[in-house]
Amino acid sequence: MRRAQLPLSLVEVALGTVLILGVALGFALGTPAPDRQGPQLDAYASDTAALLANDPPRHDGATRLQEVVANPEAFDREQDALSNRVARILPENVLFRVETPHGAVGTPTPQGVSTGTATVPTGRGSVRIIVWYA
Amino acid sequence: MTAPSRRSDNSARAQTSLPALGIALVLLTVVTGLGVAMADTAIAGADRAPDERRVAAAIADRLVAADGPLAARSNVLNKSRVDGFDRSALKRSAPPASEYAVSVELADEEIASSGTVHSGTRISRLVVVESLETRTLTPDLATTAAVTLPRRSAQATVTIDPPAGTTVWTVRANDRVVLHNRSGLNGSYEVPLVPYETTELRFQRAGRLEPGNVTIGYDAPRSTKETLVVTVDA
Repeated sequence: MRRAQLPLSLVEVALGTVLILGVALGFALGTPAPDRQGPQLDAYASDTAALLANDPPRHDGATRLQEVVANPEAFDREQDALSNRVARILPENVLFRVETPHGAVGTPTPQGVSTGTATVPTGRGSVRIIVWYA
Repeated sequence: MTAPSRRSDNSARAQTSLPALGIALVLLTVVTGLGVAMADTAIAGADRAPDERRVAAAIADRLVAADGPLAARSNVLNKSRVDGFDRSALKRSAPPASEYAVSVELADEEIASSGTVHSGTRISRLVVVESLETRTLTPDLATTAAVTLPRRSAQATVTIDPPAGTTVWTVRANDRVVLHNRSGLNGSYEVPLVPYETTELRFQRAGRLEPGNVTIGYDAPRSTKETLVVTVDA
Protein backbone atom coordinates (compact mmCIF):
# COMPACT_ATOMS: atom_id res chain seq x y z
CA MET A 1 0.00 0.00 0.00
CA ARG A 2 1.37 3.38 -0.98
CA ARG A 3 1.02 5.90 1.82
CA ALA A 4 2.44 9.31 2.39
CA GLN A 5 4.73 9.26 5.40
CA LEU A 6 5.29 12.22 7.66
CA PRO A 7 8.90 12.24 8.77
CA LEU A 8 8.93 11.10 12.38
CA SER A 9 11.40 13.79 13.43
CA LEU A 10 8.96 16.51 12.38
CA VAL A 11 6.28 14.93 14.56
CA GLU A 12 8.76 14.81 17.42
CA VAL A 13 9.82 18.41 17.00
CA ALA A 14 6.19 19.51 16.94
CA LEU A 15 5.45 17.62 20.17
CA GLY A 16 8.64 18.86 21.79
CA THR A 17 7.91 22.45 20.87
CA VAL A 18 4.43 22.25 22.33
CA LEU A 19 5.77 20.73 25.54
CA ILE A 20 8.55 23.24 26.06
CA LEU A 21 6.41 26.23 25.12
CA GLY A 22 3.76 24.94 27.53
CA VAL A 23 6.23 24.89 30.41
CA ALA A 24 7.60 28.33 29.47
CA LEU A 25 4.08 29.75 29.23
CA GLY A 26 3.42 28.39 32.70
CA PHE A 27 6.33 30.44 33.99
CA ALA A 28 5.27 33.55 32.10
CA LEU A 29 1.62 33.49 33.14
CA GLY A 30 1.88 31.62 36.44
CA THR A 31 4.02 34.14 38.32
CA PRO A 32 1.97 37.15 39.34
CA ALA A 33 3.38 40.56 38.58
CA PRO A 34 4.72 42.10 41.78
CA ASP A 35 2.34 44.66 43.25
CA ARG A 36 4.62 47.62 43.91
CA GLN A 37 1.87 50.18 44.44
CA GLY A 38 -0.27 48.25 46.90
CA PRO A 39 1.80 48.66 50.10
CA GLN A 40 2.33 52.38 49.49
CA LEU A 41 -1.37 52.97 48.79
CA ASP A 42 -2.35 50.98 51.87
CA ALA A 43 0.02 53.16 53.89
CA TYR A 44 -1.58 56.31 52.45
CA ALA A 45 -5.07 55.04 53.30
CA SER A 46 -4.22 54.11 56.88
CA ASP A 47 -2.34 57.40 57.38
CA THR A 48 -5.39 59.32 56.20
CA ALA A 49 -7.54 57.39 58.63
CA ALA A 50 -5.13 58.07 61.49
CA LEU A 51 -4.95 61.78 60.68
CA LEU A 52 -8.74 62.11 60.51
CA ALA A 53 -9.01 60.31 63.82
CA ASN A 54 -6.52 62.83 65.27
CA ASP A 55 -8.04 65.98 63.78
CA PRO A 56 -10.06 68.16 66.08
CA PRO A 57 -13.68 68.45 64.91
CA ARG A 58 -15.10 71.55 63.27
CA HIS A 59 -18.16 71.71 65.47
CA ASP A 60 -18.82 68.98 67.98
CA GLY A 61 -17.70 65.50 68.86
CA ALA A 62 -14.27 64.42 69.99
CA THR A 63 -12.57 64.01 66.59
CA ARG A 64 -13.41 64.88 63.02
CA LEU A 65 -14.05 61.26 62.18
CA GLN A 66 -16.58 60.95 64.96
CA GLU A 67 -18.23 64.19 63.95
CA VAL A 68 -18.74 63.01 60.38
CA VAL A 69 -20.44 59.73 61.24
CA ALA A 70 -22.56 61.08 64.10
CA ASN A 71 -25.78 61.43 62.07
CA PRO A 72 -26.92 62.06 58.47
CA GLU A 73 -27.37 65.80 59.06
CA ALA A 74 -23.84 66.13 60.39
CA PHE A 75 -22.55 64.23 57.37
CA ASP A 76 -24.44 66.50 54.98
CA ARG A 77 -23.03 69.53 56.73
CA GLU A 78 -19.46 68.25 56.92
CA GLN A 79 -19.01 66.41 53.64
CA ASP A 80 -17.47 69.30 51.72
CA ALA A 81 -15.07 70.06 54.53
CA LEU A 82 -14.22 66.36 54.84
CA SER A 83 -13.53 66.11 51.13
CA ASN A 84 -11.28 69.16 51.24
CA ARG A 85 -9.44 67.89 54.28
CA VAL A 86 -8.75 64.46 52.79
CA ALA A 87 -7.65 66.04 49.50
CA ARG A 88 -5.25 68.21 51.48
CA ILE A 89 -3.89 65.26 53.46
CA LEU A 90 -3.19 63.10 50.41
CA PRO A 91 -0.54 63.87 47.76
CA GLU A 92 -1.84 65.49 44.55
CA ASN A 93 -1.47 62.37 42.43
CA VAL A 94 -3.67 60.27 44.69
CA LEU A 95 -7.46 60.17 44.38
CA PHE A 96 -9.71 58.96 47.17
CA ARG A 97 -13.16 57.90 48.22
CA VAL A 98 -14.38 57.91 51.81
CA GLU A 99 -17.38 55.74 52.53
CA THR A 100 -19.30 56.34 55.72
CA PRO A 101 -22.60 54.86 56.96
CA HIS A 102 -24.37 58.03 55.81
CA GLY A 103 -22.88 58.41 52.36
CA ALA A 104 -19.61 58.75 50.51
CA VAL A 105 -17.41 61.61 49.38
CA GLY A 106 -14.69 61.70 46.75
CA THR A 107 -14.24 60.28 43.28
CA PRO A 108 -16.09 57.07 42.37
CA THR A 109 -13.69 54.15 42.59
CA PRO A 110 -12.52 53.00 39.13
CA GLN A 111 -12.30 49.35 38.11
CA GLY A 112 -9.04 47.59 37.51
CA VAL A 113 -6.61 49.89 39.27
CA SER A 114 -4.42 49.11 42.23
CA THR A 115 -6.06 50.56 45.34
CA GLY A 116 -5.20 50.85 49.00
CA THR A 117 -7.92 50.70 51.62
CA ALA A 118 -8.23 51.29 55.32
CA THR A 119 -11.30 50.64 57.41
CA VAL A 120 -11.74 52.45 60.70
CA PRO A 121 -14.39 51.24 63.11
CA THR A 122 -16.27 54.01 64.87
CA GLY A 123 -19.14 53.97 67.30
CA ARG A 124 -21.63 54.55 64.46
CA GLY A 125 -20.33 52.10 61.91
CA SER A 126 -17.14 51.81 59.97
CA VAL A 127 -15.54 54.36 57.70
CA ARG A 128 -13.74 53.01 54.67
CA ILE A 129 -11.05 54.99 52.89
CA ILE A 130 -10.02 53.93 49.40
CA VAL A 131 -7.10 55.59 47.60
CA TRP A 132 -5.53 55.06 44.21
CA TYR A 133 -3.05 56.75 41.90
CA ALA A 134 -4.62 59.16 39.45
CA MET B 1 1.63 15.50 2.05
CA THR B 2 -0.48 14.23 -0.83
CA ALA B 3 2.45 13.26 -3.03
CA PRO B 4 4.15 10.08 -1.87
CA SER B 5 7.83 10.36 -1.23
CA ARG B 6 10.06 8.69 -3.67
CA ARG B 7 11.91 6.65 -1.11
CA SER B 8 8.77 4.98 0.21
CA ASP B 9 8.17 3.66 -3.25
CA ASN B 10 10.98 1.18 -2.91
CA SER B 11 11.14 0.35 0.77
CA ALA B 12 8.60 -1.29 3.00
CA ARG B 13 9.04 1.30 5.77
CA ALA B 14 9.04 5.03 5.87
CA GLN B 15 12.53 6.40 6.50
CA THR B 16 13.31 9.46 8.47
CA SER B 17 15.21 11.68 6.18
CA LEU B 18 18.45 13.15 7.52
CA PRO B 19 17.65 16.81 6.59
CA ALA B 20 14.33 16.53 8.47
CA LEU B 21 16.17 15.27 11.58
CA GLY B 22 18.63 18.13 11.34
CA ILE B 23 15.91 20.74 11.02
CA ALA B 24 14.01 19.16 13.91
CA LEU B 25 17.05 19.31 16.19
CA VAL B 26 17.75 22.92 15.30
CA LEU B 27 14.13 23.90 15.90
CA LEU B 28 13.98 22.09 19.22
CA THR B 29 17.21 23.69 20.40
CA VAL B 30 15.95 27.16 19.47
CA VAL B 31 12.64 26.59 21.25
CA THR B 32 14.39 25.25 24.35
CA GLY B 33 16.62 28.29 24.43
CA LEU B 34 13.65 30.60 24.08
CA GLY B 35 11.76 28.76 26.82
CA VAL B 36 14.64 28.95 29.28
CA ALA B 37 15.10 32.67 28.55
CA MET B 38 11.38 33.25 29.15
CA ALA B 39 11.44 31.37 32.44
CA ASP B 40 14.51 33.32 33.55
CA THR B 41 12.82 36.65 32.79
CA ALA B 42 9.70 35.56 34.63
CA ILE B 43 11.65 34.61 37.75
CA ALA B 44 13.71 37.81 37.62
CA GLY B 45 10.49 39.80 37.37
CA ALA B 46 8.97 38.00 40.34
CA ASP B 47 11.95 38.89 42.53
CA ARG B 48 10.58 41.98 44.31
CA ALA B 49 13.60 43.08 46.31
CA PRO B 50 11.60 42.03 49.36
CA ASP B 51 14.28 42.94 51.90
CA GLU B 52 14.51 46.60 50.95
CA ARG B 53 10.77 47.01 50.76
CA ARG B 54 10.15 45.21 54.03
CA VAL B 55 12.80 47.18 55.91
CA ALA B 56 11.53 50.49 54.50
CA ALA B 57 7.92 49.71 55.41
CA ALA B 58 8.86 48.52 58.90
CA ILE B 59 10.98 51.59 59.68
CA ALA B 60 8.30 53.95 58.35
CA ASP B 61 5.68 52.14 60.44
CA ARG B 62 7.87 52.44 63.51
CA LEU B 63 8.50 56.15 63.03
CA VAL B 64 4.82 57.10 62.76
CA ALA B 65 3.57 54.72 65.47
CA ALA B 66 2.09 56.32 68.58
CA ASP B 67 4.87 54.87 70.77
CA GLY B 68 7.61 55.54 68.22
CA PRO B 69 10.65 57.77 68.71
CA LEU B 70 9.13 60.79 66.91
CA ALA B 71 5.41 60.63 67.45
CA ALA B 72 3.25 62.43 69.94
CA ARG B 73 0.24 60.46 68.80
CA SER B 74 -0.28 58.10 65.93
CA ASN B 75 0.87 59.90 62.71
CA VAL B 76 1.41 63.13 64.64
CA LEU B 77 5.08 63.98 65.09
CA ASN B 78 6.43 66.17 67.82
CA LYS B 79 8.56 68.99 66.38
CA SER B 80 11.12 69.01 69.18
CA ARG B 81 11.57 65.25 68.94
CA VAL B 82 12.03 65.55 65.19
CA ASP B 83 14.70 68.19 65.75
CA GLY B 84 16.52 65.91 68.18
CA PHE B 85 16.43 62.90 65.86
CA ASP B 86 19.81 61.87 64.45
CA ARG B 87 21.82 58.95 63.19
CA SER B 88 22.26 57.23 66.55
CA ALA B 89 18.59 57.68 67.45
CA LEU B 90 17.68 56.16 64.10
CA LYS B 91 19.90 53.15 64.74
CA ARG B 92 18.51 52.75 68.24
CA SER B 93 14.87 52.85 67.18
CA ALA B 94 15.34 50.93 63.93
CA PRO B 95 18.00 48.22 64.24
CA PRO B 96 18.01 47.37 60.49
CA ALA B 97 19.46 50.85 59.94
CA SER B 98 22.86 49.50 61.01
CA GLU B 99 22.84 46.95 58.20
CA TYR B 100 21.24 48.95 55.41
CA ALA B 101 21.69 52.49 54.21
CA VAL B 102 18.54 54.16 55.48
CA SER B 103 17.59 57.78 54.94
CA VAL B 104 14.66 59.50 56.65
CA GLU B 105 13.34 62.68 55.05
CA LEU B 106 10.69 64.99 56.37
CA ALA B 107 9.35 67.70 54.07
CA ASP B 108 12.12 66.99 51.52
CA GLU B 109 14.78 67.54 54.14
CA GLU B 110 16.89 64.72 55.48
CA ILE B 111 16.56 64.47 59.25
CA ALA B 112 18.66 61.34 59.76
CA SER B 113 20.51 58.77 57.70
CA SER B 114 22.72 55.77 58.21
CA GLY B 115 24.73 55.79 55.03
CA THR B 116 24.43 57.26 51.56
CA VAL B 117 21.35 56.27 49.62
CA HIS B 118 21.66 56.22 45.84
CA SER B 119 18.45 54.62 44.64
CA GLY B 120 16.64 52.04 46.71
CA THR B 121 13.06 51.60 47.80
CA ARG B 122 11.00 54.51 49.11
CA ILE B 123 7.99 54.43 51.38
CA SER B 124 6.16 57.69 52.02
CA ARG B 125 3.93 58.26 55.02
CA LEU B 126 1.62 61.19 55.62
CA VAL B 127 2.14 62.87 58.95
CA VAL B 128 1.32 66.03 60.80
CA VAL B 129 4.15 67.84 62.55
CA GLU B 130 2.99 69.53 65.68
CA SER B 131 4.94 72.25 67.40
CA LEU B 132 3.81 73.34 70.83
CA GLU B 133 3.22 76.98 71.37
CA THR B 134 1.66 78.77 74.29
CA ARG B 135 -0.67 81.64 73.60
CA THR B 136 -1.99 84.12 76.08
CA LEU B 137 -5.54 85.34 76.24
CA THR B 138 -6.55 88.46 78.13
CA PRO B 139 -10.31 88.25 78.47
CA ASP B 140 -12.53 91.21 79.17
CA LEU B 141 -14.43 90.05 82.23
CA ALA B 142 -16.01 93.41 83.09
CA THR B 143 -19.47 92.46 81.89
CA THR B 144 -19.37 88.69 81.62
CA ALA B 145 -18.09 86.03 83.97
CA ALA B 146 -17.12 83.44 81.38
CA VAL B 147 -14.57 83.08 78.62
CA THR B 148 -14.26 80.33 76.03
CA LEU B 149 -10.80 79.17 75.05
CA PRO B 150 -10.41 79.38 71.26
CA ARG B 151 -8.46 76.12 71.13
CA ARG B 152 -8.77 72.81 72.89
CA SER B 153 -5.95 72.41 75.30
CA ALA B 154 -4.83 69.84 77.84
CA GLN B 155 -3.92 72.49 80.36
CA ALA B 156 -4.05 76.21 80.93
CA THR B 157 -2.22 78.67 83.13
CA VAL B 158 -4.66 81.03 84.80
CA THR B 159 -3.12 84.15 86.31
CA ILE B 160 -5.40 86.12 88.57
CA ASP B 161 -4.36 89.49 89.87
CA PRO B 162 -7.56 91.07 91.23
CA PRO B 163 -7.71 94.79 91.99
CA ALA B 164 -8.28 95.86 95.59
CA GLY B 165 -11.79 95.11 96.76
CA THR B 166 -12.41 92.30 94.30
CA THR B 167 -12.34 88.63 95.24
CA VAL B 168 -12.33 85.69 92.86
CA TRP B 169 -13.34 82.52 94.70
CA THR B 170 -13.85 79.85 92.15
CA VAL B 171 -12.82 79.04 88.59
CA ARG B 172 -14.90 76.45 86.77
CA ALA B 173 -14.06 74.71 83.53
CA ASN B 174 -17.34 73.60 81.94
CA ASP B 175 -19.06 73.57 85.37
CA ARG B 176 -16.25 71.54 86.89
CA VAL B 177 -14.52 73.33 89.72
CA VAL B 178 -10.80 73.57 88.96
CA LEU B 179 -9.72 76.31 91.39
CA HIS B 180 -11.33 77.32 94.64
CA ASN B 181 -10.27 79.41 97.60
CA ARG B 182 -12.73 80.92 100.07
CA SER B 183 -10.43 83.80 100.86
CA GLY B 184 -9.76 84.67 97.23
CA LEU B 185 -7.52 83.42 94.44
CA ASN B 186 -4.45 85.47 93.69
CA GLY B 187 -1.50 84.30 91.65
CA SER B 188 -0.71 81.94 88.82
CA TYR B 189 -2.29 78.48 88.69
CA GLU B 190 -1.86 75.47 86.45
CA VAL B 191 -5.29 74.11 85.51
CA PRO B 192 -5.68 70.66 83.94
CA LEU B 193 -8.31 70.60 81.20
CA VAL B 194 -9.95 67.96 79.03
CA PRO B 195 -8.39 68.19 75.55
CA TYR B 196 -11.39 66.57 73.83
CA GLU B 197 -13.89 69.32 74.43
CA THR B 198 -14.13 73.06 74.03
CA THR B 199 -13.53 74.64 77.40
CA GLU B 200 -15.40 77.54 78.91
CA LEU B 201 -13.76 79.04 81.98
CA ARG B 202 -16.16 80.74 84.39
CA PHE B 203 -14.97 83.03 87.16
CA GLN B 204 -17.09 83.41 90.28
CA ARG B 205 -16.27 86.71 91.92
CA ALA B 206 -17.38 89.68 93.92
CA GLY B 207 -16.42 93.08 92.60
CA ARG B 208 -15.13 94.36 89.29
CA LEU B 209 -12.47 92.83 87.08
CA GLU B 210 -10.73 94.98 84.52
CA PRO B 211 -9.11 93.58 81.37
CA GLY B 212 -5.62 92.51 82.38
CA ASN B 213 -6.58 91.30 85.84
CA VAL B 214 -7.00 87.79 84.49
CA THR B 215 -4.75 86.26 81.85
CA ILE B 216 -5.00 82.73 80.55
CA GLY B 217 -2.16 80.92 78.86
CA TYR B 218 -3.15 77.87 76.81
CA ASP B 219 -1.47 75.41 74.47
CA ALA B 220 -2.03 76.18 70.83
CA PRO B 221 -0.31 73.41 68.93
CA ARG B 222 0.58 74.48 65.42
CA SER B 223 0.38 71.59 63.03
CA THR B 224 1.63 71.35 59.49
CA LYS B 225 1.01 68.49 57.10
CA GLU B 226 4.21 66.86 55.84
CA THR B 227 5.41 63.74 54.11
CA LEU B 228 7.84 61.40 55.85
CA VAL B 229 9.91 59.46 53.34
CA VAL B 230 12.02 56.45 54.30
CA THR B 231 14.47 55.27 51.66
CA VAL B 232 16.38 52.01 52.04
CA ASP B 233 19.31 51.05 49.84
CA ALA B 234 20.57 47.54 50.43
